[in-house]
Amino acid sequence: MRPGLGRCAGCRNFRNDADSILLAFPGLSAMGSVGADVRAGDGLCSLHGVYLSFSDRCAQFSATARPEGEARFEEELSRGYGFSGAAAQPTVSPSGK
Amino acid sequence: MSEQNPTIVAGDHPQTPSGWRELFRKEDWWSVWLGLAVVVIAYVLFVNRQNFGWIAVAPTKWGTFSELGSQLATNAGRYIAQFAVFLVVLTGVTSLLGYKPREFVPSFVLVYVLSGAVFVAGAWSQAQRYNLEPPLLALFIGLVLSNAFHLPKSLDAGFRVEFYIKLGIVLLGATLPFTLILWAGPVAILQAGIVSVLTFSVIYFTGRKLGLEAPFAATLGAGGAVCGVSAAIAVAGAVRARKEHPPIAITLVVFWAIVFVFALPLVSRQLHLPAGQGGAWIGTSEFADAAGLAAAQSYGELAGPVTGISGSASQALASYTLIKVIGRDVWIGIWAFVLAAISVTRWEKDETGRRPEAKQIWWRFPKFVIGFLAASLLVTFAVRHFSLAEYNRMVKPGLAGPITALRTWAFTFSFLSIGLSTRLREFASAKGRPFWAFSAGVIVNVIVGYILSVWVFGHYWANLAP
Repeated sequence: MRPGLGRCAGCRNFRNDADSILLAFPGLSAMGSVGADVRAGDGLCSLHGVYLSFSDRCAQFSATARPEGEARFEEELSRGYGFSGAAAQPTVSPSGK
Repeated sequence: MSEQNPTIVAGDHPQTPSGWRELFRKEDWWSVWLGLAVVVIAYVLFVNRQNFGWIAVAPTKWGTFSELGSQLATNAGRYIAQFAVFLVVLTGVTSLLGYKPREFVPSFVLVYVLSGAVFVAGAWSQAQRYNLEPPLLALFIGLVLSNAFHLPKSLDAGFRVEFYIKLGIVLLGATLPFTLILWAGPVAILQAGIVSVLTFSVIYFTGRKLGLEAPFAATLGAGGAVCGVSAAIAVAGAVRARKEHPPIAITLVVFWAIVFVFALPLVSRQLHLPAGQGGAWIGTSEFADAAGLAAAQSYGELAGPVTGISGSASQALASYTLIKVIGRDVWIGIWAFVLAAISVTRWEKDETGRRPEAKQIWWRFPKFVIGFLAASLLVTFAVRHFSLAEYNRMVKPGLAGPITALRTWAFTFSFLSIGLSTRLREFASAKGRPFWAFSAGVIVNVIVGYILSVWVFGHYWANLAP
C-alpha cells in the first residue's frame, strides 16, 4: 500500500450518507436497509463512478473541508475499532439539506 | 429526483463503523437491545409468577362477525395499550437511527392498523380454505397499496423491513433451544455452504461468459448466494462495483424473492413436504430474510390434519432460521473479505495498491445474530430445570407465549413493509445478460436446495424438535 494516498472517507468525492445511497440504489429498502451493518460505511465515488469502501485509497484523493478526518481515521483504525463517522460527513448533502 | 427521500436526517446518520457508538446508532444493535429487553422483562415477570400476556394480545379464531366484534370490543383496552407501547418504543429507537418522528408516527399507525387487519383475516376460521395465510396476505396488501396508489415518500419512515425482521429474529431466538442450534447448526452451515458456493459460482461464471465485468458478476453472485440485497450491497462495496450495478442486482434479487415467496410454499404444499423440510428448502433458496420468513411462516401454518402436511409451524421457522441466519447471513463478512482480496489481486492489479482489511469481517457482521444467539442461550439456561410437562404447563403460556405473540407482530410489520416499500416503477431495469446470469444461479439454487433439504438432510429437518 502506498502510505501517501488518502482514504476515501476523507475525500470530497466520497458520499455515503443515507440520502445519497437511497437515491443511487432505488429499491434498496424493499428487502434491505441503508442502515444495516453489512454496508459498513461503503459509499459512492463521484469521480470514478464506483461504489467502494470508506477505507479505500486513491491517488486522486481530494480532502474534505475537514482535514482532521484523515488523521482521526488513522488514529481510530490503529486503536482497532474503526473510524469515527463524524469526520466523514459530506459537506453538502445531495438533497441540499 | 421529483421527490426526495425525506425519511432520514441527512448528516445525522453514522457514516462509517464508529467504535462503541455503533452500539446505539445502528439498527442491528437496536434490534438486539430491544429484543433482549423483552426477553429479560418476560423472564423477570415469569419468575415472579406474572407475565405480559395482557399486552401481547392478538386476534384469536373467529367464525362470525359478531364473534369478532365482541372479541375486539373485549380486548380494545389491550390493543390500545399495545399500540401505545409499540409506538413510543419504536418512535424513540427510530429517532435515534435518524428518522423523523413526525414521519415515523403516521406511517407506523398505518402499519399497525394494516397488521391488525391481517391478523384478523388470518384468524378467520375459513382462512386456510381460502389460502389467507397472514404473511403472504400482508405482503400482497402492501404490494397492491404501494403500486396501485401513490403513497407519500415520507411514509417510508415506518416501513422498516429489516429492523422489524431483525427484532423478530432476536425474539425467535428466545423460543429456540440453544441445544438445537448446536445440534442442527453444523448441518445448516454445511447445507447452506454447499448451495451458496455453487450458486455464486454459477452466477459468476455465467455472467463472465456473457461478458459481464468481474465485480458486477460477483455482486450478482453474492445477491443470489448469500443474503440477497444485503449481500449484493456488501460485496459491491468490497469489490468496487460500478455504481449502476448494485441497483440491477437489487432488482433481480427482489424480483426472484417475490416470485419465490409465493412459489416455494405453493410447491412445497403440492409435494406435501413436512414443515421442517419446507422451511429448510425456503431457507436455502429464498434470497432475503424477510421474504423467506414470510414464506416459511406461511408454510408452517399449513401444517396439520386439514392439509396433511406433517410437522409444525415452529419446525418450519426453526429450520428456515438455522439455514438462513446461521448458514448464510453470518458469513457475509467472510464473502466480502475474500472477494475484496480477489478483486485487488486479480481484477484491478493496476489500481492504487489498496488492500482488503480483515476488520471488514466484523464491520459487516450482522450483529442481530448476536441477539438471536444470546436470547436462545438465556432462555435455555433459565428453563433448564423444567421437565417437558412443566415446560408445556408453565413456561409456554407464561414465558414463550407472550414473546411469540410480540414476535409475530414484528414479523407482520416487516411483511407489510416489504410490500409497502416495493414500488415496482422505481426499480432499475434488469434485462438481458444480468438477468440470465442471475436466473441460471436461481435455477441451480432451487434444485440443489430441494435435493439437500428433502433427500440428503431431509430426516434432520423433518424431525427437528424446537
